[in-house]
Amino acid sequence: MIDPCKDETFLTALMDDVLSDAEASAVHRHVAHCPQCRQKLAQLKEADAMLRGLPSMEASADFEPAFWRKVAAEQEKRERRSWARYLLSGWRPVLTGGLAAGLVAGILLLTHPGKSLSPEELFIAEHVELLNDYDVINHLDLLEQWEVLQIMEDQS
Amino acid sequence: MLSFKAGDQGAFRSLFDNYKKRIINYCYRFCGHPEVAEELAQETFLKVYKAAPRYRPKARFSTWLFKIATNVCLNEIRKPIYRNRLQSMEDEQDGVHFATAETNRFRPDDMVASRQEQQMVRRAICRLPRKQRAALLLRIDGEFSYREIGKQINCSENHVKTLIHRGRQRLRETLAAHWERKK
Repeated sequence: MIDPCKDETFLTALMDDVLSDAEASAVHRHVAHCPQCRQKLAQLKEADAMLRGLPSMEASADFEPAFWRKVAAEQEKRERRSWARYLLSGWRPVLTGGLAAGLVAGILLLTHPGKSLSPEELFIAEHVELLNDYDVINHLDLLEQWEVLQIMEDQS
Repeated sequence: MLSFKAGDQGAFRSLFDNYKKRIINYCYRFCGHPEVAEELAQETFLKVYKAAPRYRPKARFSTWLFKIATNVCLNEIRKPIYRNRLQSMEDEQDGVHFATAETNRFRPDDMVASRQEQQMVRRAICRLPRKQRAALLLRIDGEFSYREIGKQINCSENHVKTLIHRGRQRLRETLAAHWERKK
């Protein structure tokens, strides 16, 4: 049931020409016999006319140049982003990672040349001559045999 | 737009020239400030420019364009700084300064109604709730159908009808109060 008295949006729909022919006819018939709806419709049309009657504005002289400057800035940003993506794509990250690891390893080696000697290793390093002598003592019997062999060779 | 997407920069230029004035005026009626309106219009076109690679023609280009403009304007009026701008705009409009500044930017033959009434209408629009404002302006400025407006502001056609109706009513009530004071 179309009753603009109960649902005023029918008046707006009539103004905007979104009703079917049958609906529009029903609203027109109602408005013709209802002074309140007739007045409301007139008031809505008046508000619309005021809105449509507002003067339009022209773009300022700087509108277009300012816009194209923003476009240029946007293109520059896009190019910087695509460079970053280029460096991070494919084999490049692996190479970059390897170089970085090598650099870190080099820095560590320079600052930490090697591990320190244990107490046993230090003792051996300090007493290497004594150790050489010990080695001789261990092989004295062999050396004695050696001397005998040398004498035998001289005599032959 | 599809030509621009394919790489034809001249196509974007053509779109820009065709819609520039409509978008500026839509933004101007939405926010009530000419300089802000130009910034919002530039932002709208910049978004169109950036969105070109992803553009799919699901609706008319103008429907899509005004949807972007509406979102840009809605984001703007949400900012606290907008309320300050609105207040200073209203203060300016009451004085001579605004009248002088406006003269250079508007065509004389458009100034049919009195300046004071125009100011009243602009203030009344800027005081409408966001969705009522968007629905009403999309209908008046864009001449979009209720269905298109529903897609632009994410609501049903029925709701669009209600929003437009309430927007007109509220506008009418604000202006009626002004006319009463004039009497």
